[in-house]
Amino acid sequence: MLHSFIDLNNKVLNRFTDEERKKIGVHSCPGGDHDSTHSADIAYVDLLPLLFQLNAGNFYLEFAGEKDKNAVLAAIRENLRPSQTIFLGVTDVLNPKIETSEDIRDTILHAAEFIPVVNLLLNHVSIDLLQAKDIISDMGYLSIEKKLAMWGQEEPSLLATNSQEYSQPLANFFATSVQRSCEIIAMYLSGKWKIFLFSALLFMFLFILTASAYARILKSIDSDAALFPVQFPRLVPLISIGFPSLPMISFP
Amino acid sequence: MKTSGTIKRFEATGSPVITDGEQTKPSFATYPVAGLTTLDPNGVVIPFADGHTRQLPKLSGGPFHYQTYASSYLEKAKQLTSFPVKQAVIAASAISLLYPQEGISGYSHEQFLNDLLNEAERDIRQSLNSGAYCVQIDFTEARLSLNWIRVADCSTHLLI
Repeated sequence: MLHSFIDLNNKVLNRFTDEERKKIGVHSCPGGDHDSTHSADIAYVDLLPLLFQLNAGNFYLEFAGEKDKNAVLAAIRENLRPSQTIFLGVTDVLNPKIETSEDIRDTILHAAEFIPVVNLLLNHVSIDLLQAKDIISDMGYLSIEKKLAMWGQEEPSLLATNSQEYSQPLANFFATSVQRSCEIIAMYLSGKWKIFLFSALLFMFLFILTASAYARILKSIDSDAALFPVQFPRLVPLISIGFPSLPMISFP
Repeated sequence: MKTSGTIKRFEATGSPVITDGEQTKPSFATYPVAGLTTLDPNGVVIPFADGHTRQLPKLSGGPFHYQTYASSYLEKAKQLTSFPVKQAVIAASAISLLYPQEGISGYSHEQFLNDLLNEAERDIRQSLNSGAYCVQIDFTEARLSLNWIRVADCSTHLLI
């Protein structure tokens, strides 16, 4: 059934050019109606591989109400095509509880663990995520406004400091900033750890190679002359501070 | 809340692209056939987890044409805001459910699908031409269709 649905919708989508399809998206959700759903119990992970076969540029996906978010995110990562953009719904429209800014932040960070969202660092992703139709469909507008307002407050705090942090001891402040830097670097490196590890190994290899060559030259008879270009930079501060008038050529 | 209020509040959230919340439509799914005379009740029944159901109408004759295109809602929304507007349209697959299983004499399923493809394309193209920032196809039946037996069971049950 789903195959024939996708086939039919693709026939419509294929009548548009690539440029036009960038402006066309597909919305999917478990069908919220009267605070209930028609298909929330059917696994999202069965749907997503087929859904991304649609030749649409954008996908607006219900997400916040999903129980197994890891499986959903993994399925998105594995099946999303490079030309496709996803918009995740970060508020659960069928839950009367209003998400705190921390809840929404955690949902986004959770998604970022699976899907590289460099934009997260620029805070642009929040705007994209909030365009998900989920949040404007069923729920009263007041709560949505509150949700949006809370997220609005949350935006700057990922990179900026809160006012109470200025009254903290400097050591705490330093620790917080180091911790945040690490978090941001980890976020950026997510999915790129192999490259990081490879670079580290390459650096170690080159370091050991250089160190062994250095040790070998030290043992040779004319080591002083051979190592002059290496040792010379170390002496430069001495020349400039202690012996400003000393001619360079007279240095051994 | 009226559509104008929805749009004003959506603007105030700071979102760069807004929608009318699909409030102008009589229904997100059946707006294209609202007012169509060749419709019968007793179409596909969609069961929900809490026990309530929604039932689609079914087509009783051809040729099939949309009565309303989503661009008409877009034009109303654009009168109320200068923000970029995302326009939602219903997926062709959802409208395809209106063709009855027993068929229609003189109007084959194939003819219906041809008409539907033209109309669904026109629905999207008119919204793009009317200045939609982007168009969103509502494909909520995608997930449900993975367990279509459930719908079939429910429909049969009601028919009996």
